[in-house]
Amino acid sequence: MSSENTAPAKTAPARSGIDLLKTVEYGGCSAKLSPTELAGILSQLNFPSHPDLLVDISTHDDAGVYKINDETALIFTTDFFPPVCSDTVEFGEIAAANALSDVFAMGGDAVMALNLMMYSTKELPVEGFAEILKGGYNKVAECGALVVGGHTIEDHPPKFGLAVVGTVHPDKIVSNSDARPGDKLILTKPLGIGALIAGQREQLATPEAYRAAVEQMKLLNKTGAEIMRKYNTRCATDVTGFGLLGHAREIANGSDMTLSIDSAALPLLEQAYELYDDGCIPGAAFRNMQYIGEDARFREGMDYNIKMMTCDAQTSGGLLICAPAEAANDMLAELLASGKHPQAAIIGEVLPREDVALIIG
Amino acid sequence: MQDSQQVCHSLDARGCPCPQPLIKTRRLWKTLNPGDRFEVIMDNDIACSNLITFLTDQGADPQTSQDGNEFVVSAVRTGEATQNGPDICPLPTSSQPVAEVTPVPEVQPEQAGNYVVVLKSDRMGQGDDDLGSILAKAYVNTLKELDNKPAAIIMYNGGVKLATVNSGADETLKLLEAEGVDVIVCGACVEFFELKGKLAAGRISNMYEIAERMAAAGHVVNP
Repeated sequence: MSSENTAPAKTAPARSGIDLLKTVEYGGCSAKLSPTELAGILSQLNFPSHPDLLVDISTHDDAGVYKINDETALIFTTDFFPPVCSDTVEFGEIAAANALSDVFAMGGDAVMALNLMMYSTKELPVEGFAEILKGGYNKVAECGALVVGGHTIEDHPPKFGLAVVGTVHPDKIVSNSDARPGDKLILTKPLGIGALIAGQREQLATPEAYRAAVEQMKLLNKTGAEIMRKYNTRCATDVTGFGLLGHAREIANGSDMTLSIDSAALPLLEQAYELYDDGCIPGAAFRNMQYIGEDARFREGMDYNIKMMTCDAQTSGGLLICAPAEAANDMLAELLASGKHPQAAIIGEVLPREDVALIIG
Repeated sequence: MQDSQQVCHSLDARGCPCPQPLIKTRRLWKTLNPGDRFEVIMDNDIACSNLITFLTDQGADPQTSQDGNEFVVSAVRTGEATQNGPDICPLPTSSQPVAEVTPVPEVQPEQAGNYVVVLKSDRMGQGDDDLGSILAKAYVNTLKELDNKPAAIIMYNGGVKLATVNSGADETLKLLEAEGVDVIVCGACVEFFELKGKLAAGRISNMYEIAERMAAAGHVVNP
């Protein structure tokens, strides 16, 4: 319609005028410690076990779960990162949606959250600080939880995230290590977030495609989790920085199963494929692919871009649900009908353990 | 370089952060003929390692040499030609320090027929649906004027309505079909909208073919 209508949406940003992407190192291939390196470090530490610690670090699950009594277990998790978009409020929303996601992936309800903030008012206007917090608050409030405080350190570029406490019934924990043969794999959000973030940096992404990616990142996994719980799902995880295969492997190894993924069924964000085809493949995808190593077997001659897309790092990605076979179609229909997950899809199934963790056909 | 085979194309990606060297290389790749030897100079070690991974995956046999902070990766273009490759030899030298911006060949207009148009709605763009509907028809009707016509037009979801009788785009789609453009209509979508018997152009196909065609396309245009 008229340009008055479209202009505010396009320049959407920054009440304070801050463009957060300008604060992060241009084209940085790595904001995150490499998974290979992290695994090496963690393996040297001894993590204590406890009879009430129901889910610990050993299965690389999304959060720790501690049983309080027969009715209630606490879910405890955190995540934070540097800006992934320009707008301050949206960055807060994305970081919060991402941190809250771990609680949903475990089948729980978020109860309260602490802000983790690194921000330098010497480098950036103080308004930006408030805007990021506002975004975080929006998402915590959206899932009915409370922000109860936080901690800030002077640092630049900014980083933001949450520590979150949730609850779950001890018998209804959705772990990442209880996949069973025949389960169908449902992915609730399209892949390609990493492609679109890089594409935006390289000015290759169309405004529409990038906007769609931002909206996906802001979308809570709450509705998806409610639907999976309704159908008595035992096993799921959320797909984030290690990409689809990285998180799928945790399920496969944790459950001693093999996950078979149909590459033709993978939902992709608009323009994600084209960006990869143009060489706009973020370093994280290569790192994730290297980390997967021999644990995945790809169909001979598989399209290179799709293959790499299975390792595209997601920020606030969707749930990867191991849906009991008899419930999978209903669950998918409900996800689609929710209006929040129009690209949810069945992308494969769980097989008895074969020689590799992942088979991508 | 010291290779006996002549390096035909050289790409200077010094000063380019990741993933720009890969973007430049893939653009160059698409302009080369199978068997062409090329080299990429860069000073970013992560980008270099990712490029080597990419080239190894393509069977392009990358060879790397390092001089201080600079890496030179040379390789051979493999696989099928993605287009009628221009037989130009743009940068025969690598010794001149070139400015950041490297003259990578832009997308060549002669990539005719190497793209696929995907119509996923009977409207084009967002803002106003009536306008979007007019634009979508205008887009299809403009396609027949282009010298560089798509290899295929794929329609799914609301896009299939454009292929129905009296859609305003149906005549053009028929014409394009007659000219050899593969007009593909998603069968499930036709059923969903109950448009069976109302199609003026296009052939019904399934998601497998649609996925394959999009994957195999040089690039996909989403108007």
